[in-house]
Amino acid sequence: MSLLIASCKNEWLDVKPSKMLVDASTLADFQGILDNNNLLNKAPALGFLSADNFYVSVASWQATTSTLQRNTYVWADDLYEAETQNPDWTNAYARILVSNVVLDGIEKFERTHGVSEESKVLRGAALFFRSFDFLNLAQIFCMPYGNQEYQAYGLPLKLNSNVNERPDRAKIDETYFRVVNDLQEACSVLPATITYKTRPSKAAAYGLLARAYLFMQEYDKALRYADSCIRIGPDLLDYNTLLSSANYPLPALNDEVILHADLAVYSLNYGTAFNVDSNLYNSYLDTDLRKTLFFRAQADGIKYRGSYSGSAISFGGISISEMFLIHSECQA
Amino acid sequence: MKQNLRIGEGYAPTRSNLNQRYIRCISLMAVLTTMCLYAVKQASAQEAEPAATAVADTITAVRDTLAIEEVQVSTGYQRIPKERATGSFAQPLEHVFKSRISTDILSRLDGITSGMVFNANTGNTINGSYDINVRGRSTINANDQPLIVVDNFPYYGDLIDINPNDVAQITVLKDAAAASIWGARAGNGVIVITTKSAKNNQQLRVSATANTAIADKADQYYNPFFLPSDAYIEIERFLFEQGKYDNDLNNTISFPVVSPAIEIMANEHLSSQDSLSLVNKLKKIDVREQNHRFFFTNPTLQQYALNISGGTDAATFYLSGGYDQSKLDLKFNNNQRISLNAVTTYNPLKSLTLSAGIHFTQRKDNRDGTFDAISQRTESYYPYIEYLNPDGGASPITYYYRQSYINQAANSGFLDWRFTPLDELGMTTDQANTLNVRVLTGLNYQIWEGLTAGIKFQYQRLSNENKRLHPQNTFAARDLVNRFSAVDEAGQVISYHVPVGGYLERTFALQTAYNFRAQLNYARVFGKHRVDALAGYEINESTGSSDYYMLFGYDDALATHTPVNSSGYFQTNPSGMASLPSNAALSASVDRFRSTYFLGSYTFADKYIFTTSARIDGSNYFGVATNQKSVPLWSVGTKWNIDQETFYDITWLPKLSLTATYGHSGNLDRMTTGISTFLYINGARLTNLRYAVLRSVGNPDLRWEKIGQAKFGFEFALTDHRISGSVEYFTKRGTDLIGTTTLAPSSGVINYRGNYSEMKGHGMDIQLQSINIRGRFGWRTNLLLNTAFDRVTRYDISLNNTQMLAADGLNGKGVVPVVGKPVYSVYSLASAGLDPENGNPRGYIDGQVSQDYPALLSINPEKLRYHGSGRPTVFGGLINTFDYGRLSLTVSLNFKGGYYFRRSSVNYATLFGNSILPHKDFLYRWQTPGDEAKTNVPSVVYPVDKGREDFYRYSSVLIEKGDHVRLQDILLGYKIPFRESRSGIRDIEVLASVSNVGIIWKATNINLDPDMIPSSPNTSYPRQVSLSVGLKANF
Repeated sequence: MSLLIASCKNEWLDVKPSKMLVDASTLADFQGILDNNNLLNKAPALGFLSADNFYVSVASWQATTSTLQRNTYVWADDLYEAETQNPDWTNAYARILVSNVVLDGIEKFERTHGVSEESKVLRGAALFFRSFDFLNLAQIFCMPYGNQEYQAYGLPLKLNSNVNERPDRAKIDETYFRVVNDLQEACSVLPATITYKTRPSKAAAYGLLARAYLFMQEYDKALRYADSCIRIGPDLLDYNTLLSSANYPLPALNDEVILHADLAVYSLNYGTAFNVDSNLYNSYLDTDLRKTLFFRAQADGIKYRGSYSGSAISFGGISISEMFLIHSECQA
Repeated sequence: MKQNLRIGEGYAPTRSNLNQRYIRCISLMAVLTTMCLYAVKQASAQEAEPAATAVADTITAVRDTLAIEEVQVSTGYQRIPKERATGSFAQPLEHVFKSRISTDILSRLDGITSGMVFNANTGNTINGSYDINVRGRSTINANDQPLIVVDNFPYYGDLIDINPNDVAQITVLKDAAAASIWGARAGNGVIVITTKSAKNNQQLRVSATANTAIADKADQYYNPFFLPSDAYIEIERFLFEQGKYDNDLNNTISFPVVSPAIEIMANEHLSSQDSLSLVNKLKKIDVREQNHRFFFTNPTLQQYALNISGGTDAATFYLSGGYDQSKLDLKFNNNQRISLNAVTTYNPLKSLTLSAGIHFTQRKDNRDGTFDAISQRTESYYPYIEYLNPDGGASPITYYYRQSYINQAANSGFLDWRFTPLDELGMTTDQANTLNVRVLTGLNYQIWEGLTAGIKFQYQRLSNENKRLHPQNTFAARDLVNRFSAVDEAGQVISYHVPVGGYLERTFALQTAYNFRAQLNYARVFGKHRVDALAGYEINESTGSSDYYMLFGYDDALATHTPVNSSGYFQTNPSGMASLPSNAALSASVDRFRSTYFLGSYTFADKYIFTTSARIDGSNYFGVATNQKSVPLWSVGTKWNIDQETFYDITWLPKLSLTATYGHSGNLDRMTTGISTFLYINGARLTNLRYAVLRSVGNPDLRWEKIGQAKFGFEFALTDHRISGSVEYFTKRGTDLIGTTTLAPSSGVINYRGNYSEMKGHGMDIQLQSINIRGRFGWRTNLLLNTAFDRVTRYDISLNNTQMLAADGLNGKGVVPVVGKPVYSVYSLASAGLDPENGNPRGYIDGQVSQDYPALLSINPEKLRYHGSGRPTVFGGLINTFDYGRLSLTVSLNFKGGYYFRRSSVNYATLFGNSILPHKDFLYRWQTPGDEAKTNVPSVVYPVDKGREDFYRYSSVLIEKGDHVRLQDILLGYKIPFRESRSGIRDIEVLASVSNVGIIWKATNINLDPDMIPSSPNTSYPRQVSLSVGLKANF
């Protein structure tokens, strides 16, 4: 009889068909999904590939099989030619899908179990990750904030986990507003202290807001959020404590890191594939610890080893040093 | 570096097994004919038989055959007279269904049920179950088997648990008007099985049945993946000379098996003469003959059934019991089934009926895997294996490790590591116990005239418990202990990680299903108007779980075992590292359905009939959005009995009616779900946290596949039913079919499974019955002719060459969804024959003959040669029944056509591969110029050019037409009535039959049964001829 009564409720059909499957219905599941730092703590790297502070040898450029990478590096008009996928775009949206699965899941969870402190934090974390990706994507795939000519070409703001729904591109303004609004909500719920720097904190949300407003050229706001971040964020590293003998002297999750993220790995931005511009390298005084901690001069060029990822992978997260930079830039 | 092998020349082809079959079949037919003649003589001797009763018998017989038009059809929700139904309801030819002798129900339907085809060589048939399509195929990736309904509810488990002697009626629901009441699960058609019960005021009836059957042993000479020892050894010699075995012979790490022939060739202590004579001795051995003798046996069946039924005006009962015992092809492989049923109804009030039933089946399956353990080990399945040593005792064979290692291990404290097949036979206990219990209760109450309310509840519990005990002296147990024995530096065993003793594997699986249904029925006649309607609500929950464990050092006598370190990682013998075999596994699943439905029909003056149905399904397999929308699946139908019109005056055609129906039904894919699922993984990078990875992206819009079907048909009968039948044309359109599509990357996924595909289908179901001769000698013919064609109309992912070529509709290989072509299609690379110079296979590139294999293999998928469907598109049966007095003889032919398959041939890449995969086509290969006129089999080249092999494997010369006609069975029945018998016997029926008689025509001239195409050396024996005798007494 209880079966009968239960069957009349809508939830009766929501049970997962196999117990082997984790269907993301508990807060612990959501935390587990967000702890997949191999997926979520990543940032696109095509911007890095097209930047001018490093160069690759002609030989290694020619050896690169990816058309997209080679064309990005030389700023070709057609980046893709015959290629159809852009990993920066595809992977960012794969992350956004996971954030949306968590956001939809929490909404459903809160409907039956009520809102709790924990559910709010997880919602804030998912909003943070989604905003992090939107903001990163906007830097590569959209004209800068304020551009009127290409205003219509913002990002497709995918805000739910239904893959069948395909949003059109939003306006550039809308894209940024979405990011700052979501981040402001995240700020209000994320905890000030966290155990793992792969998880978003209040400081990380302030930091990302500061970065967003800097991109939007709203310097007073950027200054305010950078300031808030510095206030609750970690201190700077004392470079005297670092071991220059280590392969990568700056460890992952070091004191300055607020949120860990790796840049996407391409063959041109990984390890010793690229060389640092010697003008930049030479601008450091020999007594500057950074000259030895960040770089290694080799026969084939000057290699970078100062990644906050503590490896051959470039850092793409948020650090307190970046906040000091924003802080200074906004006051300039 | 091309060399020609010259071996096996002049080897005569193996004798045609089909011819052999003909001979056997003809002799069996002769026996049967003699039986017939004897019975006829006996019958005519009984001159006392008055002519009038003979006529009465004939009339009864005729009525029996016409019963199909008089019976009611059952949908699982209602029973309606066939005249008032607009839908397509098929029923197996009753007299054949009842006379066939078998343990299961489904095999009896083959060839006698309109619109139903039994596919062969599919994934399902390889696993030992049936593969049935009703009116062709309606899905690409989802479940393609019809829904089975037993006693009004969807059935879980294996239909083998239902004793055919307890079956009252089978109805197959083919079109939308018939099936769509089953909603989201009716897309592949529905088979509705109703078990027997008693009627009110029915005399006490007792019926006892005893059947027995025996079949031929499996044909060891059928499989083409075989080379006789002499040819095999010459290949070994050739490879040995090429140095192919040098590594194995010098391998003192893992000691791989080296064949007895190679051991002789490599033995430097033997003189070349001794070596030759030893090898020549091996050449005379044929393992098939020994397999036949030592491992195979004649399959037999014994079946006993008894049922008692009766009824008063207030109550009825039906009790039955059955016992079946079958022995299968291989010795020590057998099963037993006990079935018990009790069904009762009680009317406490005239308007109230209570019913209850319990159906219980217990099944025991015993298996012995010794033969599989030998034959599935390709590396050591030599054609010259000897199971006996010269003095007649059981002999060990070369198995797993090299002989020298096994000898050495015996001196190092290991357990005996030899494998002696004839000692192993029957030693392992591998027993499955299945218990299937269905409990039904129901209540029916007449509220007022024409309106009744009913409630039905069913609980089904299906448990399956498997015990596989490998006693201490079995090879499997000894090998496990030896592999995990710890050894010292000298290689001496010092301790055991797996305790010495047997080991036990246990699996428990449990499935329970609850069904509940509440239904209102309304039936009323107002003058010329008749209204029938019903509406109901039902829920269905089925949960399944299984667990598996393994115990080591197990002693069955005491039921004790020794705990082991299951997480340890050990050094194994002869080499490597491994953990103990995984000793536990768990799984659990839940299916839920919730449905509301409506059925209505209106009849005017028995001339015009309109029917409609609608059903809303919800399921945990659908996405949330779908469950909320509640979109119904519906149907409409109409029938016009023209013969009832006043203007109708065609006297030679007394019966004529037209029907047309249209509607939708659905289908499910249990592999896709509406929710996103994740998998937990331990130890995230940087944090070492447990994290969850997205495994499948949920699809909130996931819905059932939708199959629309329109049907037009007519039914007719000539005067006296001389010829009667029906012709129906159907067209189907599947939309929202599960398929893979490419999504915009901004959705987060690129390749995505969902409701993205479409297909179409059409065909005809023709049923004809003619009464050719009436009288004391009667002859009638039933013809079932069906066609079913399908083609994919939308599939978003395009397949590449290899996918299209590899899928050949055979052996469970995958679907080939290419727009415009059938779901199962057969493609090939056009062949240009063999090169007369060197016997290389040739193809075409842009019309030019070419041997550029990489280019030939990568031609544009559009340029592949398309042969046709891989599944039958034309099929049916032709059944002739002859009566003479009380004797009847039924001959059933069944045919399949309009399809293709790829046959195997020699492949030098696998023939000269890691182990020799033999194929008899090697003997027919091109050897000298001129051979290209006689053979398609390419010449030998060594080293192998893989592209050349792949080209030949996929070339058009290996595609065969599957069309064939099979003599399914010959049934002989004799009914002895006892008019005034003191024993209470009313009649006795005697049945005798020959089944699987053989193929009487096939389109291909290769020696293969198109319904049994072997894909490896150790599977696939064609169905054997079997002879059955049965007795049924009615009291």
